[in-house]
Amino acid sequence: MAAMHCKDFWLFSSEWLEGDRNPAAIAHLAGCPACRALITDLESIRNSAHLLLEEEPPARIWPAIKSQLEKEGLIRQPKKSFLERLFPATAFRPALAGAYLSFLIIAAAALGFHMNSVHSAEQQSLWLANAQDAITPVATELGSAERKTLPALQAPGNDITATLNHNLAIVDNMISLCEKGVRQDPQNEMMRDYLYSAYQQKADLLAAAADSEGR
Amino acid sequence: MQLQLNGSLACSEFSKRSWRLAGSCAALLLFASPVLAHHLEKQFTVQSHPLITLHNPSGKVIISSWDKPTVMVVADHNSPKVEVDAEQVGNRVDVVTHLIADDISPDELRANYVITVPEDSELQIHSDSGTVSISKILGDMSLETVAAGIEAEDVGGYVVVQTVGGGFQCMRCTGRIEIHSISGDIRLVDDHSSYIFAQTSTGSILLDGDFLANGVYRLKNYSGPINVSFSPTDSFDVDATSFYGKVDNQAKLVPARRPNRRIPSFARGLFGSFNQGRAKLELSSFNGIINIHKRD
Repeated sequence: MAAMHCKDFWLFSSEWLEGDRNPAAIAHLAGCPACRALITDLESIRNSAHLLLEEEPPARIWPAIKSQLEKEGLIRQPKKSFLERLFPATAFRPALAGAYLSFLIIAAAALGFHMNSVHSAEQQSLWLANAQDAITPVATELGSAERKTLPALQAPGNDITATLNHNLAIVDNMISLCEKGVRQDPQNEMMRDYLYSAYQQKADLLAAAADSEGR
Repeated sequence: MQLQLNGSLACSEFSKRSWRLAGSCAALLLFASPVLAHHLEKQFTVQSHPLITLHNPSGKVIISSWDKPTVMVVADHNSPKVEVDAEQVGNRVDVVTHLIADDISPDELRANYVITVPEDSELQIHSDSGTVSISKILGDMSLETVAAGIEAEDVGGYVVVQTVGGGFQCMRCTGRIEIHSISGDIRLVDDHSSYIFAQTSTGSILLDGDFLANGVYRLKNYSGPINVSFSPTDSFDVDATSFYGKVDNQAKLVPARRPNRRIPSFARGLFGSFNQGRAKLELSSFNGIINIHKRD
């Protein structure tokens, strides 16, 4: 049985929360306080998310878009997954900037918040490696989402396209500065907070671009 | 004779002018008629706490309340390439602008709405561009726009706003308020709210309202100014930090404690209590200026 590392475990965490108990994951969790803390946090979020189950899905917000997405087969909901229950507002949005991306950002932030309870140099080093591992897929997903949204962002000039592009430039600039700041001072909690906010803003912006009819 | 001739000429001239005027009126009506052709007016009887949803790509939206258990939707648009529709499903009224052609210019997208609803209505509004004005609604509302600015007055429910570049202004609002924007300016004036969260990247934030006991007010931006006004009788704890900007404070604070979180040495920070510190005020900027000034 191959040993599981933090990065592998983190990718497996969604399945873990769904009840999948891979022996390698169990072994890793037993010896890794950082991943145990992450799982505790995610379970806490999941437990709070049960409150959201009573909510009517927000299909009523964009009935026309929902209908169109259903026609195109982009919405699949025979069985709601944990992520869909956790992020009902994004469930009907195009997958590119939906639940998975939000999950990545929240998980990255959750890793970040553990920094305050990590004291030894070894633990800090481990934490930094984990945090960087967590941020990498977020950046990758955002890049992929941006490529998919490119047609909307390159639509013939109108005020919507102009607004989206202008704000994308703002967010990209913010991400760039915050990433630089985090690299220079990885323990800077506020800088990390700004970075996660910027990622979330970019995800929201790309979702808005995909949703926009003004193109 | 001369007079008669002049009279005939005058009469003939008058006749010509009349025809010209009539022609002009006909032409005006001809050109004006398409505006009147796309008009929708519908009324729906609803129960208490109805939900009204609106999805409109572009145009002016005005929503206000009255004391009737009725939702009235009045919509106008110029282009035949869009279609406005309003229908009732139970206690919900869905209002949608449909696009019925592929090649639609921004001007052709435009549809304007005037919607009148019961005071306790809940709203879910999505509008890409144009303006959204809401007044005297007490139900919860979710407002999403790309470029459209939003103005709300005398609203009382839980207000959640998400814009890309559109500004948001809330006057005399009393419910919880959450605003997320990227470049929109945020103005919160004369509000009486126990919870406000406002975040914008390059926009400015103005908070000039009441600080309620146990109220929480979190304002965060990236580069625009954050302006907070207070009165001598207000009572709040303040925690203000600007990474690369500055904090200009006129409140006499009692230094209480360092913040729980770690802030870098180069950042400008301000922490303390004003009067009894009953409300909590958290202000955070990346490189913008934070002004905490006495109300004029």
